[in-house]
Amino acid sequence: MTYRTVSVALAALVLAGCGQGSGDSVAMRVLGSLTGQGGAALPGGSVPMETPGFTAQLIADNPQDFMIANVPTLGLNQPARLIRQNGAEETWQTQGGATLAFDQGVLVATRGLIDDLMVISSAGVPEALRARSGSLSRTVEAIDSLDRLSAETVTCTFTNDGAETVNLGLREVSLTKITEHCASERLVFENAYWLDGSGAILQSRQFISAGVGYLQSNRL
Amino acid sequence: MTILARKALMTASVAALVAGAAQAQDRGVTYTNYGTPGLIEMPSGISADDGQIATTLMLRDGELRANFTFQITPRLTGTFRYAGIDSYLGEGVEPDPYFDRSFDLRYRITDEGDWMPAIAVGLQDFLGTGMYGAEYIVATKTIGDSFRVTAGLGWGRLGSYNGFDNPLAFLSADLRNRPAYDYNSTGGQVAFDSFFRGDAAFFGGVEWAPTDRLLVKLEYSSDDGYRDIDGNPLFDRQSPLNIGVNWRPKPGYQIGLSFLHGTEIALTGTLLFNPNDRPFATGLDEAPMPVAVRGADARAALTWDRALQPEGQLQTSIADALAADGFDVHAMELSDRAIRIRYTNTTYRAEAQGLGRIARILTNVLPGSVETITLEPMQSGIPLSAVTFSRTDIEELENESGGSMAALDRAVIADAGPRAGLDVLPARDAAFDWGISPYMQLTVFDADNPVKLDFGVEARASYTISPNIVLSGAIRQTLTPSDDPGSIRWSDEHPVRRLSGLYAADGNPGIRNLQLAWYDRPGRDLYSRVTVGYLEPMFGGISTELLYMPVNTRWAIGAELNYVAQRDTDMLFGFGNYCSVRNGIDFCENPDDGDDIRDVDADYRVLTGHLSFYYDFDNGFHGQLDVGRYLAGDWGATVSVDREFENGWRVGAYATLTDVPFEDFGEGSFDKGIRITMPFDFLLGTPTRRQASTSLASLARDGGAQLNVDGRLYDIVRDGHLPALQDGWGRFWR
Repeated sequence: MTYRTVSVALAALVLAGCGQGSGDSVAMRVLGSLTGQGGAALPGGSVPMETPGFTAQLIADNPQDFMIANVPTLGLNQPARLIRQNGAEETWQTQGGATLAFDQGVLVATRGLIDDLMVISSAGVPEALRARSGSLSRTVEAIDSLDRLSAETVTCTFTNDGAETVNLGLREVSLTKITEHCASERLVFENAYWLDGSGAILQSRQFISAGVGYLQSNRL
Repeated sequence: MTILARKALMTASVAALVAGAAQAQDRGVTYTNYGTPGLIEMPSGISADDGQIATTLMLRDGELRANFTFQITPRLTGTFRYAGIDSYLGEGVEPDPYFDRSFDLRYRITDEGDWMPAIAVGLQDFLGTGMYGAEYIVATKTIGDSFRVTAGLGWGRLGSYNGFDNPLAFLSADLRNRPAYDYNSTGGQVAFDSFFRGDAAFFGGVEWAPTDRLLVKLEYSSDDGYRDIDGNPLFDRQSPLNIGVNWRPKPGYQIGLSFLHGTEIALTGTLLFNPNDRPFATGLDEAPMPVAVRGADARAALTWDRALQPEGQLQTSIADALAADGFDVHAMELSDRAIRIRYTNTTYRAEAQGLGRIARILTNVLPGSVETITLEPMQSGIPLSAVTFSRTDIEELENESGGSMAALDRAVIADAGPRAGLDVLPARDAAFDWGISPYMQLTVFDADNPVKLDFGVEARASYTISPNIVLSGAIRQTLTPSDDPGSIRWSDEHPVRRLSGLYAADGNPGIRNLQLAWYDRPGRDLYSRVTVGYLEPMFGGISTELLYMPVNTRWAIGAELNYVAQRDTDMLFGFGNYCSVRNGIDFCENPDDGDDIRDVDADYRVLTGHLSFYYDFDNGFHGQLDVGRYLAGDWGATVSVDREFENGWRVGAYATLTDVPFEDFGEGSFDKGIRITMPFDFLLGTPTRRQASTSLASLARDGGAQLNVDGRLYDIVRDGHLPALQDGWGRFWR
């Protein structure tokens, strides 16, 4: 895929995103109010947060700051931009304003996706992915119709599915696919991660909620 | 609406599928022509899902029943019914049709098991005029996936066909005979002396579900009470057997057709709704600002560089940032290590959600040295509480399993702090606000006009002198004017709500209210309100209120004292001209003895008020007791019980007993009703604090009437206190 083709594809995605509620999100309005004051320095440890942008040129020039986020159930297929980095935890914001929080590439929370993943524990998951195998417990928290938090503990088993060639949009790479099968009496889901040689997750399909299903994401 | 929002509908249907799978055992709950879970006319032992609201309309030749059934608890079911029967009082005797209200209660004693049937005991029309009065015990067993069998023993109407001596008579000989109902009574009283008395009879039936959407019912009815007031049959009852089909094309509604007693055809429609099933899952709320975690150096700092970030500029930045997410900042106290903010949450129903969103925003804007964050939510210009977080906790707990409850455990929730030390920020919203909107008002239960719909235009305006002092008013013009003040029955009480129809007929346009309201905090755990002006359509004067409500308790005590005068029926600026002649009736002259209320109350003024006790039970129920003097000068008490859902829905009932004799009060004997509050964010998905309330109440009369002043303290204050914060805490990180 040529750079031009990729740019056109990204531009199309950006334009599509514009039609999908791409008005200023809360985070962007808040950031705008802060940066607009000119004097409010942002605290340390954060990614610089200038006026947000999702232009194809910006994405092509800074691919490390963008990913493609796809939630098929919602028809959401948008670029997302890194807006916060707290140590190993990153928060990405889609062009429509939803946020996706990852711990070393493992999805831990979503906001703005209607039936959100309030939080899922990630302890041990990066290690299991690096080991390409293992078994551990994870706790999924969700809000029910009465605004009560419910927690479901699932047992997750990791298996190595071997190498696959994956098209990330700007590049085509060979990655190792790890499948994570999680189950409890009331909840079953299966995540998939595609890791590069350093163990970084470049593509994944991760569970959000029973209502929304999965987030498919890939780095560029 | 964004595409994302539209997609929410699809998501909702996905969620519904998931929910539906979890509730497969409840798919067979259908409703009788009386609006209760059961067969056709006969009840059954099963219950609907907890919280289910079913509105059923039954129509047959000569009878209409509108039923509202609420599954109050998993075992307790309540039904309110409004029914009209042609020629009930006799051919040509008015009112015809005769409309009547009735209430049912049913308690399910057992859960259905492998062998155990669901067994329930019920009272039908136990509080009305007894037109449908019956008691029963009934058992229902589901067999396989498709069959359900019901058998029961009934008394009253349900013991009126093929009955036998009361099997309970061994307990007391008094149970052998059921006293005849006194049709000249005003109804509304619990018929203790009739319960389970007189002949009893068996009833029962079978339900068969050939498909998931279709249900066929066959029942044997023990009801031979389809008779007019003189005991004459209302129709030709040829058989005790009824047969019907029930079609459930979608989860939200049911349609039924039945053939009754060999001669009658009845059509029913049921709308179902459950506050436990939110259509938009967690809502369409925008994603919040993520937490910014400080670096080690910033966290270790004991002060911040005011040359780089002047305090005034920082305050403005914070207020701007919070305004961008729907919070109005009124005042702030900022030091090197702590911040205290007073704000009004204008957007989110749950104050807990507001706390979480503000805390996250502050981690992005505060200097690194500020470690303690105290948030004081306000409503009506008064601070409700003070919730203090450690900034380090907020940094640590975001996106952590168990982080919500940990945030609550670590927060310190106390009474709001003093005004001293706060810098008041300039108001951002314009002081003057106005709007014009359509209105709709439903009036029911008038014997001459059972359902009356009034709609028109309402203009509202307000001027905020300070956040806690507001001048406001509303004026209405109906588009459905009527000279008919409705049926107004004379009583010896001063005419209060009895005249509401007269005000509706005369007051066009009418000033609904024009008032100055002042809210304050006179002391620790104390809240006050003083409202002066035209307080409601029928009364004006002064209303004062004091509420004692500690932040962390489930109870509160309030006192309200009002001195009001009765307004002119034209609802403009005068008082005292509330007597007039309409349709040849002088509403201030007793037709029986010629006494004229104007002789004693030409310019009616009354001192009215209540002591109120509020209790938020820990099981989803809320109780309120008001004791005091009502608008007609009568003394008494009002008891209210509401089932409150954490997502903002409320369904409740209230009753007022005063020293006004039942016969003076009129039909219904005393004031009572049911009420529902709907949160708009539940229905729309988008965050909003707006809600709508409606009630199905007795026809407004004179006894037990309270002043309808806007903005009573309790509902304003409680949202910021611990029980409400706990209820909404699931949204803290939303």
